[in-house]
Amino acid sequence: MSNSKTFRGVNYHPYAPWLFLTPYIIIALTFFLYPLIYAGWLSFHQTDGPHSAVFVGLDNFKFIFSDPSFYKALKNTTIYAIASICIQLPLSLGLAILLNNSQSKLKNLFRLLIFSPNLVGQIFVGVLFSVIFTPRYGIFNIGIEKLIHWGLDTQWLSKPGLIMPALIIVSLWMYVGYNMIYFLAALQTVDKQLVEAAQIDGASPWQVFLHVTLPQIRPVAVFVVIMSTIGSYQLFELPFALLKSSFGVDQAGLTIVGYLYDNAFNSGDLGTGAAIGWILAFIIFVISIIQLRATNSPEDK
Amino acid sequence: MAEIILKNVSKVYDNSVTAVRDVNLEIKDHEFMVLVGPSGCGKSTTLRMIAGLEDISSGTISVADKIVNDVQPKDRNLAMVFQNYALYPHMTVYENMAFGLKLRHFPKNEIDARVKEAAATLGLEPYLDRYPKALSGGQRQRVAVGRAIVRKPAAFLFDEPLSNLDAKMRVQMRTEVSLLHKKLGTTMIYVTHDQVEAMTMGSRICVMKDGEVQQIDTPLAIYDSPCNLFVAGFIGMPPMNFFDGTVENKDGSFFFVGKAFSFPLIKPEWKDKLAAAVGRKVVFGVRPEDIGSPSAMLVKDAPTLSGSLKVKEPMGAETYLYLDDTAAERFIAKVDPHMVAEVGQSMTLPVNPAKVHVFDAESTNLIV
Repeated sequence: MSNSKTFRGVNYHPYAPWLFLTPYIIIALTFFLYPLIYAGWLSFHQTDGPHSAVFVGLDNFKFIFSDPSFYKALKNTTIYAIASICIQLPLSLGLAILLNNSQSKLKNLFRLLIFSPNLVGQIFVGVLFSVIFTPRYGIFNIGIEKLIHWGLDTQWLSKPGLIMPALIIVSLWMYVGYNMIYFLAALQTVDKQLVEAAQIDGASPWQVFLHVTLPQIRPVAVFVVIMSTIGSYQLFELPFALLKSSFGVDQAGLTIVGYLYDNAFNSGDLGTGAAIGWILAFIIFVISIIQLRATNSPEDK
Repeated sequence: MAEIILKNVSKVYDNSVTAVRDVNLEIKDHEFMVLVGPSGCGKSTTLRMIAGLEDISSGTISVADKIVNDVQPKDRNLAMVFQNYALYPHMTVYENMAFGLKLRHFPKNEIDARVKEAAATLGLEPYLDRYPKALSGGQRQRVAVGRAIVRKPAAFLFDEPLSNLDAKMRVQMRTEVSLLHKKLGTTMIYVTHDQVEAMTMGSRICVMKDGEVQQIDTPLAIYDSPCNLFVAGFIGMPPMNFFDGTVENKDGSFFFVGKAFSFPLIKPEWKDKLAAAVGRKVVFGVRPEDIGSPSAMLVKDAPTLSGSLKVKEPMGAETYLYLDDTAAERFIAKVDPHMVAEVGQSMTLPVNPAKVHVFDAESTNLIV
């Protein structure tokens, strides 16, 4: 075995690692790298099928940036993303803290219950909530009527001003538990002695949270914020299932991916669709960089 | 500055495990009290109850004449140093020390003055802008001490603060904490499992076992007259040698009679107690440094212990001899390093008869 190599005392054929990597490489090339490059190529062409591509330069981008629907989609998606981060994540963190401090034996049950909506797909949730939001008979409408004596006849899915709130409510139900699991895992790694040291140093529970707990879970919080932002900008199935392919009255539920779908598959303009995909990727990239920079901690410098 | 008094303090956990049972402890102002015992003896739990980090199941704890059972940790005016330092990793050394003062709304210049003063005391001035992860273990522990002293608390609580340090640093920090106590004069309560730390640092030592206080006294008093077998075996390194046997009265003179030897118990003031113990099962205890040591050699007509030498451990300043007597009872003698001794050889070593102890085998309490 003159041409064999050794790793931690194990002899192997020099090609062996490549053999094990091949399935991944094939899949990545076929379903990731090739479509990525092809979409880049496509975004500079007009096409309605594989054999009809005409080079159009930047026309696709010019069209998108002059299309009011794009700005509507961008605005809707951004509102949704901000709501995710500003409403959903604090709620997730709050629930995680409650569960983390709980001595209850039902702790694990609650954790499962709060997490479980995430096990259901967005399409199914969309169908489910189109029933739940039914005016007068939907359980959401009945529920808030009982709680705050308002909303029994509210047409969540047909009033343009209520469509985004409705989407945000549904995504709260779906994702609060999902992000809570991350926060809960992070909270469990917080050094108890640090909390005790802060208590003795004179910190109130809120100060302990602010000065000890939060900095300790910061890496996970940054991760969750970035993943939620990315997930929010990729929102599609939920409004699609909830509002059908028109994305609601006045396109009030149109998201960027919805806009992409509309152009690529309703209008059949795959080149514009590819261009929108690249624009979306760029938006997500820029926002992620900004978030990473903003949340950089001094001790890592 | 404060007295800390524990009255009948117990800690029972929800699963009805008793961690601390009926502890009575009076820590005087300016005192350096060391709580010492093996792991699980309740010493840390006791300290945490004083700090307010654990609820008190029964009894009372008072700090400066005020019962603090229901007082929040932050309002007890105590400072604590933890075993793993518990420094805030996202704060610089300066911020770590200033944190407690900031929370208490001290003016900025006062905070600055106190932090700088503590940094000077502890030799931390070059590190004020560093984060804890850029410090060595000894430096981290200094910061933890600094964080405690800037507060000028009523008392300091130390929870095994030196256990995470290497041996050399431990000895150095031991001296530094002692010096700090001399300088500040603040009451200190120090928890450790290391009897050397307890002996060297404490004004008084409280020895605990299984949640109960065994003995509270000055280090030397505990060393010279341990109240029971546990304390006798726990305090002292190498530990005290024990032999099973009985006390016998031969024509008015008392003897310990063991399996391999009998030993005269000579002190006149022992007589009454020994008379009461005649015929009972006892444990005879003698410290290694009272067997064959230079001081034992000087005792006139000293009684002896004999055994064959199994292991010889030269420590430099002294040598430990591990010997087996004729009943195969192993004992240790701490002798002069230049004493001639070959493994396998039979040795007869003088014992200082005034320094031996007799314990009741059943109750384990000290008889003489």
